[in-house]
Amino acid sequence: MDLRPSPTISASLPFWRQLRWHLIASYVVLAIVPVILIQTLTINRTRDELQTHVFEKLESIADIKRDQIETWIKDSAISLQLFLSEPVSSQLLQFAQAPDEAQQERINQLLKQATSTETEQSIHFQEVFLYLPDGRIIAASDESLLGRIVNRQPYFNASLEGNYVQSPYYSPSSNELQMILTQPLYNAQQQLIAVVGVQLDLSILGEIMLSRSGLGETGETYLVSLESRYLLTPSRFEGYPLTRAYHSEGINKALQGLNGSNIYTNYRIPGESVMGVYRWIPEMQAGLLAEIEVAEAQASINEIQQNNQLLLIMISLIALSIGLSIAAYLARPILALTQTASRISQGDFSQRAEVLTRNEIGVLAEGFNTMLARLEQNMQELEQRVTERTAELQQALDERNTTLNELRASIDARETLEQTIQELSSPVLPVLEGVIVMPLIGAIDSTRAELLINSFMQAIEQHRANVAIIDVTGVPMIDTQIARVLVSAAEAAKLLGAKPILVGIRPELAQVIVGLGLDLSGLTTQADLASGVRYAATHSRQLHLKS
Amino acid sequence: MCHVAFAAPRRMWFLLLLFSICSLSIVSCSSPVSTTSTPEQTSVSVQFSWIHEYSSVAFYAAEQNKRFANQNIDIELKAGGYVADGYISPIDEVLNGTVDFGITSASDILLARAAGKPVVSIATIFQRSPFAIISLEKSGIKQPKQLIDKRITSNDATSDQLLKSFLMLQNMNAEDISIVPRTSYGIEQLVNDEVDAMTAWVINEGVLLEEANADYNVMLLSDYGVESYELTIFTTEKTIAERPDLVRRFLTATFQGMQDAINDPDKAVDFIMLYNDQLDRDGQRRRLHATLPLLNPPGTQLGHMDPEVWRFTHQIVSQLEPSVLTLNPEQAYTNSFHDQSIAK
Repeated sequence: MDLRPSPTISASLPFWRQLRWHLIASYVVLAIVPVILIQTLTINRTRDELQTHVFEKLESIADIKRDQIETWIKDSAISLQLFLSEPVSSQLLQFAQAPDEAQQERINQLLKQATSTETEQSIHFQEVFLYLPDGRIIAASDESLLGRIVNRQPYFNASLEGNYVQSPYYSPSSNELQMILTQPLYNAQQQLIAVVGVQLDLSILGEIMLSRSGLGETGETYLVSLESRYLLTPSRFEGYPLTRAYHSEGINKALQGLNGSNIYTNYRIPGESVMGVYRWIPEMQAGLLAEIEVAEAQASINEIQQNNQLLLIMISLIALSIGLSIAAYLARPILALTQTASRISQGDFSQRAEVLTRNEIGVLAEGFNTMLARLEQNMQELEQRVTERTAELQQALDERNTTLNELRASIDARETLEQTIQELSSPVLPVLEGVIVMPLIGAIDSTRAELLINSFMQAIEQHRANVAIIDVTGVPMIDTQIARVLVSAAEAAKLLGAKPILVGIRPELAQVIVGLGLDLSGLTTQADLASGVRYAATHSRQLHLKS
Repeated sequence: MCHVAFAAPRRMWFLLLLFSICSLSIVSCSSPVSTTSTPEQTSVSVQFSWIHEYSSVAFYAAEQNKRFANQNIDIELKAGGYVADGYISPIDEVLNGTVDFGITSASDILLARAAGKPVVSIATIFQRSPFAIISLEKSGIKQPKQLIDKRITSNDATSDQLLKSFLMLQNMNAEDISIVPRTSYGIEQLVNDEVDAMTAWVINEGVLLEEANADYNVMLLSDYGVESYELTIFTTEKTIAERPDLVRRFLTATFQGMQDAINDPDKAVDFIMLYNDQLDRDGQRRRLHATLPLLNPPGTQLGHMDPEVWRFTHQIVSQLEPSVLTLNPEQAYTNSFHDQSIAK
């Protein structure tokens, strides 16, 4: 049974694999996703609604201002009509039909009265003048107009046909904007006798247009002339003179006679957009524009977005804290169980899981503890059995060791005996100086043969033998292998400087050697040991004499 | 493998299709250019009646905004005024072939034609005459009849005649006023009380008085029925007959320049300063702003000339130079190039 601790059960799991954070993440996601979805769905709708609201507001402002202008023009015309009612009309007709220098001053004063009265509608005539069908001014509120001939003025031809409103234009003589209303005067026969012209005070237009109610910081209303695309009323912003042609989608469309609204490039700041409403005012031959910069118009949307983001953060924090609490509540017993399991995995079976809840996890912890108790009991029993068995095995091992020692001693004795026998089976005897004899007795196997050769070699070296006699008289049988050993021993003796002599070869041995075809030409043989010793003594002496 | 084997040819076909569409687009876009004959590059010179200043702003704007270049015209703008040899006559410069076009008044054109010089006005720069009777406010002269027994100075014989016409239309006579010779081109005579009034350009002497912080009264002659074209663009009958396309192209660019100046006067002042850095920028700005209402007042078209004004000018100049009387004023100008240019 492998009781090593499991590496997977560890409290040091990365956080993204921890149950607690899984639970927290789940709560946060569950809380935020619906909010984001709702925001995404509602913000576009809110933007559209707000845009519509801004356009409606601008349209309302534009329409109000257009109505104010149209009303102002109508009221001006009505004021002129009222002024030209009896008896003024008759007096002017009479003067026009027969200009009398004596009456000049009186008529001038009459016209001047019209300029000094201001109506409730803020109608103010700057100049009032009376001219004949040839264009010659014969009476005027301002005497400097006397003598002028207006036949080249833009309103002249139309003024002879009926009541006429001349849209604003720059007067070459005054280099100022002026707007003229005219009304013809007819005699009883409906013949055109003269025309009365009034120059309107245009300051009211500026007042109407510069009124900023509901237009915020960047909103403005202004009039643009069709004739020159110049501004008829000043911009509320500095740096935009009246006498310069201005262009924008709104201005272009208004001057095409169209009414509408759109988002288009600001006439003042290229690259920036405005929400604009445009209206064509035919009486003025001008476009009326009500505009507000998109950035300001959408500021409330941005505010809503910011509020939503704040709400999102708050919801996230709340979800996080709730998630933390619930995750802690749910994860604590499981973590306790996990930690217990982790410790058990390290071999500590005495651990018990804390039963923190009474739910399924609590039941699981109790079951875990029961299982642990049984496991611990089993382990203890197992350990006891192992201890007992180990003791038995130890005893058997001791006995075995004793037997082994005895056996080993027996083997040693035997080996000593065998060595003695071997030593006895290969005796080497020095019979003369420089002459040794190795008598071979009994059967020779391969092991003994090797032992014999070793002993023979050692003796040659030890005794510095010149002659080495191998006596095979006592060997009952020589086979092929032993024959080869004898030859090898003789060859080895030669190499050590000793002359080998083989003695005691019986006939059957001679047959074997011959039958083997061994070359014994380098080997001296003698019939028996005595012959061999004599030969050796002779040979050894000869060697001494030579040396 | 089969997929790969088919994918490559399909992509190739797609690229071929794309290439074909692009090629066709380029061909279709470029075809109008190839079918339209490009006018040859032409050198054109213009002689102004005065030095480089606000009155020629249309030409400066046209050159700077490449209006002439777009018409394949290499323009040369020549300043006029006085030099060591005297006044540079635009009419003489045009007639002797030194320049192609010139700027001068309608009355000068009529006088030249009376002298047998074949010049024809092809457009006017000012729709309304800037001529005015200007007086200091302290003189109390606000209406014509207040000029009686007053000392008035005017520029030249034509100005004198315009003044006389003005008086006549006001049921007055030349004897009712005292005409004093003009001794300077500024406002000195008026300011020094040597005269009570002067005939002058409201866009010039008028602005001078404004710059001198003098309160003054203006009677613009055109407000009293005395209208004249003080700056017309003219050329020779020969040029009109032989090079009508060039005249049309030249006028097209000039009108565009005029409209550019109207559209952005501040930018136009920058252009003026490019041609004469001796000028006072602020002064030019004031003069140009005073000039703008004269260029295209309501009911007029840029450059277009009213036959009535020519007839009136013919009458005035005839009184000055009887030989003019025999001329047909209709031959002294033409709106045909104007119409083609504006239409284009």
